[in-house]
Amino acid sequence: MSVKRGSLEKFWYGLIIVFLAWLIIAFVLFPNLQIFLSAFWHAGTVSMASFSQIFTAHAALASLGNSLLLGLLLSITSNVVGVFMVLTVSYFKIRGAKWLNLIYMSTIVYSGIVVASGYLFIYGESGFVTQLLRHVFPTLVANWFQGLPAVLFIMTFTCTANHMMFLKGALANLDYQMLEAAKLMGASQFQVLRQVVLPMLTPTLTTLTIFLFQTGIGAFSAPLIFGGTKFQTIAPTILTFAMDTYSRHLAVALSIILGLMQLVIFGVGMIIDRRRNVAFRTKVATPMKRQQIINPVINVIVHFIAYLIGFILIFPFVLVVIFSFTDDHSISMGRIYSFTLENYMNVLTTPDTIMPIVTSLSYALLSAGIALIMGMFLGRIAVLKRRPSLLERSEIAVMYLPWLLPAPLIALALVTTYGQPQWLVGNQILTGGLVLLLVAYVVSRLPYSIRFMEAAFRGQNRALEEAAVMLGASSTRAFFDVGLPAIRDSSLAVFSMNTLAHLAEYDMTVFLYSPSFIPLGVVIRDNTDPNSGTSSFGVNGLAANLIYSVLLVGIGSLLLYAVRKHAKDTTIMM
Amino acid sequence: MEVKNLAVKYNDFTAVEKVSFNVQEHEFFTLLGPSGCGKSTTLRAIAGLNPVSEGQVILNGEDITKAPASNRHIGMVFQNYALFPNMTVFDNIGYGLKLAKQSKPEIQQKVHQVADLVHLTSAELKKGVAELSGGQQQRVAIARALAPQPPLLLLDEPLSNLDAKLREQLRNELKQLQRDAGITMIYVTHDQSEALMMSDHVAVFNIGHLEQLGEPEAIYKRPQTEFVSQFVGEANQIDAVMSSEPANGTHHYIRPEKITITAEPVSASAEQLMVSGRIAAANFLGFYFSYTVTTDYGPLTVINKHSRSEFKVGDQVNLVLPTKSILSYREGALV
Repeated sequence: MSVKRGSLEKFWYGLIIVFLAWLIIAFVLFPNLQIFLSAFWHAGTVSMASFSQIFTAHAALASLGNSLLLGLLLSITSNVVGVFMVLTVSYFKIRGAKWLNLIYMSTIVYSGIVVASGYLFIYGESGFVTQLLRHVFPTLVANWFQGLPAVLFIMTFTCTANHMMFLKGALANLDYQMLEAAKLMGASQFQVLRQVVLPMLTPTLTTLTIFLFQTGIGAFSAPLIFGGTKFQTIAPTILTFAMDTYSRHLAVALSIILGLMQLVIFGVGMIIDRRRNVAFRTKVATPMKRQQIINPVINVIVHFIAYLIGFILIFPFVLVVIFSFTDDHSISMGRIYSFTLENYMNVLTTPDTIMPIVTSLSYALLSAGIALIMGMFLGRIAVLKRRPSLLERSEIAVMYLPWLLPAPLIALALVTTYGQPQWLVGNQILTGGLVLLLVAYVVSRLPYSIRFMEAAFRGQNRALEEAAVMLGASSTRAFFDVGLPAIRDSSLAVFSMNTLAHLAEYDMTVFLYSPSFIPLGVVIRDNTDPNSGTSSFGVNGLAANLIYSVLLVGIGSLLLYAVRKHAKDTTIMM
Repeated sequence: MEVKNLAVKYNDFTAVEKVSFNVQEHEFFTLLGPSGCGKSTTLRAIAGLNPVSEGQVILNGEDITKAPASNRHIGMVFQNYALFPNMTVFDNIGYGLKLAKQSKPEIQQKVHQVADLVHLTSAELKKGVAELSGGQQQRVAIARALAPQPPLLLLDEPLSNLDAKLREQLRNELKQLQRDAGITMIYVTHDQSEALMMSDHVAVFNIGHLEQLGEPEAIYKRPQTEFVSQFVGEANQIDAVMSSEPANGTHHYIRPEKITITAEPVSASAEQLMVSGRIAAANFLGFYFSYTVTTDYGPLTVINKHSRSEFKVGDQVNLVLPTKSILSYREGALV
């Protein structure tokens, strides 16, 4: 029997492993190590000067405190709202739950900068709601929607996307017989919820809380646009420092502090995770059934709050859609005077305005695909290999590193390292080019891609590919013929989420984009930033942003629809 | 097919330890044992799905130990069938033929031929695999494995997911198919009655090693080890009844059907042992009764091949144990 085919597969496999090792070293380990060392190395000696400057600079210190406060408050508010949202669409019988579900899901397709600029249009100084409120309350200051309350309000509702994806899935996986057993033992409806359902969801809630805390301390877009002068957090401060060569070392030091904070939170999460008992799962679980709220008063209150949350979420988007069809005068005044398609025509036919969409879409799709393929490869090794080699294990472990690193740190590390020739990339300068942003997008989505593809492979019937191999297929052919179709839905979900994450990404993009191809996230921000110096700032920029927002939500919705249509085996609940 | 000193190890854990056996052409060979005994691991090592740590697998005189699974040309039926959900029944069955680059008319002909063999209709061939019942899926899995006409077919507990009635029906069909088509089969099961009924030879596994290899009748009637005597069929341990012998680590067993049960007083001969007791439980098992009798030496199970109960719970009975039917084991091996 020939062993040639097996050897050829081994050769290609080895080649991919070596390529991945290079990729990890060049774009994850080396840049971050470089930036880490640069923070402690000044004028040829070890120095803590950057850090001491941070702890003496008022702005930096305040941003640290603000970030921690935001992380803490967000993990409470977003959890409360998120759990309520999931319960209303998946646990209780609520009239119109199907529509509410759609509205609640919309948070998934809004990216940070789009949400922030959308809210700015509604609640900003000349925003629709601000105009309306000032009409009723003439003493109200124009910038009333600013600072911690504004940032917290926006982030509370937008961060519930994770609840809709993960908590909903965890709730659907509960065994309904447990609830029935509790009821038979005399538990009231809310005792069942409090004493049986919520404790069973604790593992997911713990993970979500850690994630929310991390999101809070790393928040970028919302504090940047709504923080005002009094509430700046770490990430926007890093950007401010990074833009000036003289304060770039402070940006680096602040990034490291942010990274360490993320690391500590992640560590705490791991400890909690290990101490937790393994949840009991029955072999054949009875599907969950929705509960009718027995108390009529509570029923009315729950309905009211559910619709109110739906209104808060949909209101800015509805206004954005409506105003996107109005003329410049309406947009600048925040009042509807007349409808027109002129702005759509302008944006979609002018190369300068359509180019950012093409750029961002190309980057998002390409990086999503690359991250997915790498996630598949490494996730498969993690699941299928009984004894992965040290190199394989290291590669998987290091690929998770970007999960712990804040976006500005990843970006700063890449931009500073590859601002000069490096032998690892053939002595090329990558900063300012097209590649570095793609690399950052790929690297930042790797942990997510590996994690979910690993879960998909674990859920896959392993005998399928074995059966194909037994019938004469090579392991590569077996994967493409049988294995891949079996995880198609999960792959599609990961691809969509990866694409959505970068359609209007700002946090890394602002550091890494090439001036010849400006991505959408940067354009949207510049259109709302009076200090950007861009010619489009003002009503033209505002109009363009409205149309960009509508288009982005449209693209996002299409992607989610495609996933939802095939979401039979996905670990994410859509 | 020859397996020589086959061992499968995972780090410090030995799943299969130096197992050797031969399977003749057209033979139905069964690997029997409890869960975790290494029977499936052995089968998967033969298939090339599990790495072999030591030993050799030889098929038709050729050493295939290191050959990739895809090059061994061995058919396999998986426990959960592993049918490809993205293909129709026809495509599932024809997949191996397609990989072998056979022409479309050839594939058509062979798929229909093998479908006939397992009683699948043309209409069923057009269906998706999810539309089929468990029994039909099982037939598709067998047909798919048979289509490329492999010299050897491996079956990993293929009937374990079916209900009792269907299992019995397919058991007969599978045996018939093996006889008619003259296929060499290696079958893995933990069901002793399935193994005894279907096999030409049975290899009984326990904790990674081969306990006994032989024809089903020999396995049942002359179990060579204490484990086999207890795992294959039922056996009453009667050490206390044999207490006249010195307690030198020897254990004694007798099959329930070898014991005669009577209400009449019996005078035992030199070749018999007599034990009195009281009926504790009488279980009706279709065409025979199983009694649990409490005796001074502990409870004994007796099978009485009468379709109606002769005794009721509480009845005083006498049990006759023929000494020639007693199996004695010292340090696990037959004395």
